[in-house]
Amino acid sequence: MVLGLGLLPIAGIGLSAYQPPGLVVLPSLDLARLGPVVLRSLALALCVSSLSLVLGTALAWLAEKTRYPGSVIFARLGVLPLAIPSYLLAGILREEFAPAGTLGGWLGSLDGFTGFGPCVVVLTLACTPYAQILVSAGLRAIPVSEEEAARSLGAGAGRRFWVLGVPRLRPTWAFALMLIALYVISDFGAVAVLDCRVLTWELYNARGARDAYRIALAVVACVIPLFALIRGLQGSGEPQVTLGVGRSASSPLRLRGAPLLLAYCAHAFIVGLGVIVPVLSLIRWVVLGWSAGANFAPIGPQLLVTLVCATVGAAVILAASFLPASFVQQAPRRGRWVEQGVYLTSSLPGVLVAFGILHLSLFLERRLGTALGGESLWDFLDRLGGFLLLGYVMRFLSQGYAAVRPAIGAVDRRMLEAARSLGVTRLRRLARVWLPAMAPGLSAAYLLLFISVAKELPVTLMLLPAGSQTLAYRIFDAHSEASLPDAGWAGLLLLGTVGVAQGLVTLGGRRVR
Amino acid sequence: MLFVDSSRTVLLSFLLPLAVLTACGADDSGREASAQASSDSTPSVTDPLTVFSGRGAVLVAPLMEMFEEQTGIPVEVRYEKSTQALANRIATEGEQGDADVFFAQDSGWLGALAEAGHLAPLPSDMLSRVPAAYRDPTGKWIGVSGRARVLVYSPDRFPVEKLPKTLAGLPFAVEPGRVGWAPGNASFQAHVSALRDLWGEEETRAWLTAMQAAEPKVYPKNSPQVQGVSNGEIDVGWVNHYYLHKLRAADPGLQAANYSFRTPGDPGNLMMLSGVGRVAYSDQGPAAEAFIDFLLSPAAQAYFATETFEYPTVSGIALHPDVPPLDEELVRADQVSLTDLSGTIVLLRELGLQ
Repeated sequence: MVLGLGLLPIAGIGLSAYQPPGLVVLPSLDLARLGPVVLRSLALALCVSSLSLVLGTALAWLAEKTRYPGSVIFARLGVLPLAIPSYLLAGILREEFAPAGTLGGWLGSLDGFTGFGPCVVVLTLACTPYAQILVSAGLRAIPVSEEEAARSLGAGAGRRFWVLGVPRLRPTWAFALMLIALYVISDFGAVAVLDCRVLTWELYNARGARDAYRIALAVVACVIPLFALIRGLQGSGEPQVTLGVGRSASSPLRLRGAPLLLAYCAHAFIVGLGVIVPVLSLIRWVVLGWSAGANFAPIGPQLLVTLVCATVGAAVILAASFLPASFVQQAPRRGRWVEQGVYLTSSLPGVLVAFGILHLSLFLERRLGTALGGESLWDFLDRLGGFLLLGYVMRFLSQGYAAVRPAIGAVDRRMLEAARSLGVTRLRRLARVWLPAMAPGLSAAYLLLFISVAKELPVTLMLLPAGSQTLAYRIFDAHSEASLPDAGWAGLLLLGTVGVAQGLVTLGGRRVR
Repeated sequence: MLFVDSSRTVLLSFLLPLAVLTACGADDSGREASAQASSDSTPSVTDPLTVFSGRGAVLVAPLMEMFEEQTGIPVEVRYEKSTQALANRIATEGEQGDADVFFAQDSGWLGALAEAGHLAPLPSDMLSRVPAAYRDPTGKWIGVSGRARVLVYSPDRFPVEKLPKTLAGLPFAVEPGRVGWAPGNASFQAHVSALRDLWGEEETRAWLTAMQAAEPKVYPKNSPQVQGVSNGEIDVGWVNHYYLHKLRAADPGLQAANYSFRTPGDPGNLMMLSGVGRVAYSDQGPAAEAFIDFLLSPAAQAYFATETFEYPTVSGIALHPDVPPLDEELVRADQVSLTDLSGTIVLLRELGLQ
């Protein structure tokens, strides 16, 4: 099943070359033009992953090894940019950094905030929290006794970091570098809003062309080696990740002077541009629209569709994750390949998954024609949201799997055996043993999947059935129409939805602890 | 069915919060009530009418709701960023497609679909409601609103005297990187088709190449160009007139103005039509015609005039006070030359603009 899922978009890519010609027979894509696009995609991935890693390491070190006024609150706020989708962040910063924008005017900017450089800034903001979380976990893994010994031998903070931290962090850095590079190559929203001509944006723009499969194959060619590297590094490089930022037991360094100023600058960049500016801008857009008497487009249906997609999508992903998770749990050795399949499926960029599914479904539609009581197969599955849900499952299967597998492992086998020997029925065993053991992990996983689906853009944009829009779709649509009050309203509602779900995750985590 | 525009089913199925149910379920009850109250002339319809719309939801979603309320016919709209993608989909899916109506941002793709036989002829009494210049000569599509192609510019940074007298002079009047355009947009493509017709292939290619030398900033649509002029990204954009008024309604402080080329009949001063056609394979003929009929009704025409700041194609509808009357000496309204899109798309692809 997992292998089949992973191959679906690949099959769709192949079939896209055989679609009937449209109204216009286009000349073939110039492959010479594709080269610079591939290079730009790789350069973007390299720049963003390097910058995020430097910044994330600095922030992780500040959080773990130092203390200064506001350090705890900054460390907590530093992960909040994760809640803001890259397309929303890009749209806001594009407006604010424009020459006549609030920040652009203040900085005396002469040019628009579009293209490669701004894309590096936005994606660095979006990715630094990932690097920070990974490196923080790596720093926590350094034994306190070694730190104390180095300190007693007179080693300063820099020397201790160099001698104790760097060797241990090297695999973590490599892992984080590849992970972020994969994220950047897969990103669609920020590059689309900032018009950075990279592979995903080119693929979206060429999605109806017969030779778009060439761009799709170029995306696959970039993603697969990165995936292999990540999987290779995962064993050695992936630290024990703990969400939330803590502090190691070693006595922290008190920052003063220039280092303190640098620390505040780093926080201002991440928290200021990644959290405060976006929220204030969204509020300002809505207030401006209201005060000008703008006609806001209806937003209730978009909120409803978002909630339905996220509610149903998260449930379907979680249910789909059970099959590979239980297989791997029962047969760990043979299950290794299943696990690779799960992670490979979810490492494919959303726009590629959507492109593949879209063309696969169009092919099925052409071949199978009418069925199912007069309604075509396409119509039936499309109306039911079948293709959309398939896209969500493929995008987030690894996220569901990563939560379901340990949840299955948490079930006490002895208790199960005891219940079975006492003649307890399968249904009662499920209710009394399986569910109580798995519930905490599954409920947190469900909410995190809910958040991921609610924010998702490319799959939603390409596979959402006719007549529907999610909040993410509306943000993208309204921004492309320069309708900032509508984009602001949808953005605030999306952040509110994500915030409520994230609050429930935190609350659930506290209860479990 | 999960996503059919039936909020109540969705809510019952997934037990969503009561507040959301109240907010969104109201649409359906209203629709049912209006369906019962709808007049005898309204076609009896159970399946929803599927509209492929090249016009954005932000612009025309209220119109769809007005139609549903007025007729009781449920509408499913597939909004697309690209009119080209929608037209191609109708063409490639043929009889297996589900589109009943094609509501295009510009008449170019309507003409291309009509020529290829994918649109059905419209009744002559419907066609006669607009002047001949605003409809397909073969009667397969009809213009429902018009917009003038203009330059949008920043009066603060780019004095009006520096603006060219003709479109041909545009590449040489702007500084590199300070002009915007939207090559993926249907209006742009239709306008280039017209230029090919008026100037010829070579002159159009040369003009596009000269524009490329001016390093234009590429936008997905027209309205972000207006926003780009206002926020300083560019000094001049090549757009339709009404985006300025639409954006100014939401932001009175918008720093931009429209400009028509001062040469009468200049190829830059084209009248572009947003139009609609019935897909030839649709089994919803009466509902599709009811929809087109609605778009030509005084209520919908007034919506185009007052809410989207366009020029109504049916006479006798008052313009929005901010929209200047059409200068018939300056503006060309001939639509025939806009429809040859094949050559245009090939040209744009050859120049790396597609």
